Amino acid sequence: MSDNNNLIITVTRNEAEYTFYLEGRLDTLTSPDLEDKIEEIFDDATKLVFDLGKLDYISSAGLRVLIGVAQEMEDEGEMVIRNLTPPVQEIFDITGFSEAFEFE
Amino acid sequence: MDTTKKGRKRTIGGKFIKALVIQTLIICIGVSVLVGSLYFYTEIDQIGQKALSVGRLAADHIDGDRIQGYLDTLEKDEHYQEADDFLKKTKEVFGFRHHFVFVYEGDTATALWSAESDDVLGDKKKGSETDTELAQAVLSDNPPEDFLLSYSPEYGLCGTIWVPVHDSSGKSVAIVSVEYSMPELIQTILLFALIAIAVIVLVTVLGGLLFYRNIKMNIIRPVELLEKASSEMVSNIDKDVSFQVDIHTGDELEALADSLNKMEQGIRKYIRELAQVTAEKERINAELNVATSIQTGMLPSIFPAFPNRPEFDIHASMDPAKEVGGDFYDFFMIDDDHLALVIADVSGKGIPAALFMMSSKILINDHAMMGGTPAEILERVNKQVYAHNDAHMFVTVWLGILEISTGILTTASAGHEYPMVNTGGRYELLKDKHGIAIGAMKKSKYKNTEIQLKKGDSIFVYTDGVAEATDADYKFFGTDRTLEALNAIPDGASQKEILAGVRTAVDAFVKEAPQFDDLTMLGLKYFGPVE
Repeated sequence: MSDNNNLIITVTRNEAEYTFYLEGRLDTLTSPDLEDKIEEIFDDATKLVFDLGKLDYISSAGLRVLIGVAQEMEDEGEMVIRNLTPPVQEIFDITGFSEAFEFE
Repeated sequence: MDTTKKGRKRTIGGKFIKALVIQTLIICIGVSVLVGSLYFYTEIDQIGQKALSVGRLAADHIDGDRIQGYLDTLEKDEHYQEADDFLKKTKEVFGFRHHFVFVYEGDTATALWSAESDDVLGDKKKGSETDTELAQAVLSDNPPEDFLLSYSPEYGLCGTIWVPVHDSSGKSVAIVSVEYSMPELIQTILLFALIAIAVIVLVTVLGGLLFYRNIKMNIIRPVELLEKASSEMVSNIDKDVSFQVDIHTGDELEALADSLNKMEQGIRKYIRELAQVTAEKERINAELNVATSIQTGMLPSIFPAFPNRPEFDIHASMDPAKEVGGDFYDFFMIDDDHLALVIADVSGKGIPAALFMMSSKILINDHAMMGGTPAEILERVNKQVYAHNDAHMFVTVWLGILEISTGILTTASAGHEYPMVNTGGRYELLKDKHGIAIGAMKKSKYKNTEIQLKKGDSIFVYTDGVAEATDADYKFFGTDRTLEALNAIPDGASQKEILAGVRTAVDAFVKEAPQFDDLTMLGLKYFGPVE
């Protein structure tokens, strides 16, 4: 369980727009938490914002959660990612995911 | 086991009887003391009262005005004789030991009458200090009415009462003494106590036995049954024999027996389920082992892989973090002059990643064999993977095709880590062109990067398990340390040795921290075309 403390997820809501602030590491161990949190609000959301300003690391499992959300939001609304830190930006660049998302 | 058997020698019945004996003893002693003393004081009081009344009667009978005359003249008149008769009679009737009248002056008593003797008038006797004190009290205006008790072995328990004699003016002039003994009193009390004790013992023992019978039937027997049933249950829990307890006392013990029965059924059910779950887990583990061997079997693992191709040296390795992983490497000859190199990393871990990895590996192999540049191959594979990707999984792939005759290496990357190439004596990061990981988007474009390998040049590709190997403080091994490790290996080392060297460096960095990610590496050294 202590490993799960490596990711702190804070969610704020403005009508149907939800903002997820992620802090720590989004990896194999912590990404199911994020998936659960998104699942909870997914049906009412028309816009999802992911603020990665305090995210130190994202693994392929974390990218999978984001790409999954992006694919499902394609028809129902919009999804935006913002505040990439340099190491996270690098991971997005290497994996080519910089092309797959909308950034702010 | 020995101690429990020793402990078992104490039984509820034994404890009960012990308690009963102690209780009877306490009751006997208590009741005897209480009843005995009550009887003793009542009896003594009664006798004392009687003696007091008789003493008063004698005192009333005596004419106090004549006493001084008797003392002065020592002559006995009619009244003297009458009083003497009275004393003698009462002594006889009541069985007093002594009965006499005297005058007490200073510390000396002078006899007037005695029931034992006819000739005492005028006899003087010095009294003890106690006698003087008592005489003063009796002769005062407010005489005490108690009696003195004494005990002598000769006469047994004795009582003494002094009563004042008054003259016509109401002045106390003489003392009547009544002494009586109660030799039978103590025996009577002892007998009485003995009978009382016998009755109490009889009653308590009979009552106790009845109570014990009751307890034995209603508590001890059921408890013994419960104890027997539970110990048999424990020793036979693994056998399929049921030990139901049959108790119908209608109280808490029956409820306890019911709970025990239920517990036994519950435990049996639990054991059966546990056995099933364990068997199921073993089956899954066995299947996982098979899955792992299938997965490993999919990867080329016999080295040297191409013993009859002296143009290059190739080696690869994979260490999954779990039993089955999502990483894979691959290499195969597309035709006689083209060698394909693949390294890939599926998002996620375990069985889902392994399944996705299998299909990706086969698709890449198939499409590579169909021909085309690496970029074209990746685009075709992406289209296929995306079409059947309900789980939103993706795989980063680096694909290189080496033209053996020319040394031209064409690469394309679907979001995979940069390769490390050694074309000038040192390994360096090759920032080849990147597209998005396969399976992430419907239409992905990839670009080819071409590099020229000369004789002796080499390339090292890997998955994020290498660069992102993490120590206990969440520090990454990183590409810089990977490059350092590669360059630290002496020239002339085989590809197998190079991979082992990187692995050693990673292990030294990670130390005790658990391996999060699969660790997969592939190395190739080009020796140039055969002359």
